[in-house]
Amino acid sequence: MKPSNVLILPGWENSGPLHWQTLWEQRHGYVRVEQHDWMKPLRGDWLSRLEDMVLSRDEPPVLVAHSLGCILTAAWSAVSKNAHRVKAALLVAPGDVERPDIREQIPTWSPIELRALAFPSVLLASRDDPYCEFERARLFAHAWGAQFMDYGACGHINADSGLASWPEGHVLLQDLMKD
Amino acid sequence: MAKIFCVANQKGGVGKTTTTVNLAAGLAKIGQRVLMVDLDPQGNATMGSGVDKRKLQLTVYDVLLESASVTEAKVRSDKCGYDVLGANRDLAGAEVELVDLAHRDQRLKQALMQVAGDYDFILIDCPPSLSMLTLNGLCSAHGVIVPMQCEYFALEGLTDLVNTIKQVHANMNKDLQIIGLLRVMFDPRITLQQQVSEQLKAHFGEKVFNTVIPRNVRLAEAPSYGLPGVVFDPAARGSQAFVEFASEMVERIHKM
Repeated sequence: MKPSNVLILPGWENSGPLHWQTLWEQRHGYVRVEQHDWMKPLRGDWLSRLEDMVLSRDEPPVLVAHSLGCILTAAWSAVSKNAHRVKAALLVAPGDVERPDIREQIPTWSPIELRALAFPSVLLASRDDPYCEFERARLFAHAWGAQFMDYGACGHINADSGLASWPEGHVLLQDLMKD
Repeated sequence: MAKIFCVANQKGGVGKTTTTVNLAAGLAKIGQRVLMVDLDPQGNATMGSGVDKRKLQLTVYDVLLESASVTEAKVRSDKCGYDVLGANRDLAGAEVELVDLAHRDQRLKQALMQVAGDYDFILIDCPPSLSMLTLNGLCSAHGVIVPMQCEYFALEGLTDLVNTIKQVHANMNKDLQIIGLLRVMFDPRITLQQQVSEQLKAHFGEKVFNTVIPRNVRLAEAPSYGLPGVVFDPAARGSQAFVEFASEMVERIHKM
């Protein structure tokens, strides 16, 4: 599939230059869903941007979500009549926005949508993720109908995890991109 | 009980938001109780009423999704003298989220009914596109105020709006009617504007408001100060015209 049909969904505050999402975008030509405001994420605004980006693809896109991007994917899939257009999603280290300290900062993202996604997905969770307890991630995977993968102790599976361009993750994405 | 009006025009840049906030301020100035509802995700009517859209905890988006009531989500603009049910970019999500929900085009109406007794006027600033948001506005309203510039292409946009209003009237809201056309940004020195103005009068008769809002620099400057012109510079010709228009609206609703 064309790289322009792989949509990168970063989390809150965006993914920086050393994040694997950015490196994949640069290396493979995937397309980031640019949000109007990364620092103050407005749920409705983010949903609308994702909807627009999915509708503007010329074949069913694959979503590559990290952290809040995973919560966005679930929220959008539950309400959009266009969710069936998505081919698959790679969900990495979902952020638990229902946690009191995070909920206080971005309250409109709670409750987390727990309906099954309208497309196949794989969810990778880390055992020492500072933004989501491992068992919470397992619960999300179960609710969303995602294949759950235990990725060991890897922090928030981001730039701080020392993954560089994360080739192992990219293999998982390529599996999802296959027909 | 409040009379509810949409300020709408499917043509962009015609002074719709300027009309909404200045009419709201003009009505407040002559003692009317006013709620201004911003139904445009750009949130310009919110900002133009002295309310910072970035600091809002609850907006009309939460009301449409039924996660908050109007009473919870409204804020008071003390400077302007009216209440604001504000909007920011969150509202764009409602277009996605309302699609499959029951009574999706009646949600604003149901919410406004709860507070209708608290106001004399509820003014709704609609986005220029015919969207689910605009439909919610039109389904809530007793009438539509159509601001328009007296220019050649203005009449084309009007045809689209009239057709939309007819459809909503026939299928969703029997109360809905065009209350009137408001000539805005009017410059009597321009012959074409005078001609179009006369055409409007000839074609729409009493539906054209008597008040004419002149082109006025102070009205244009006011949004950058986060205020309606009526509040920013009450002595400006444009501001005085809006207060006059507010009085005309009060007279007109007594005849409804």
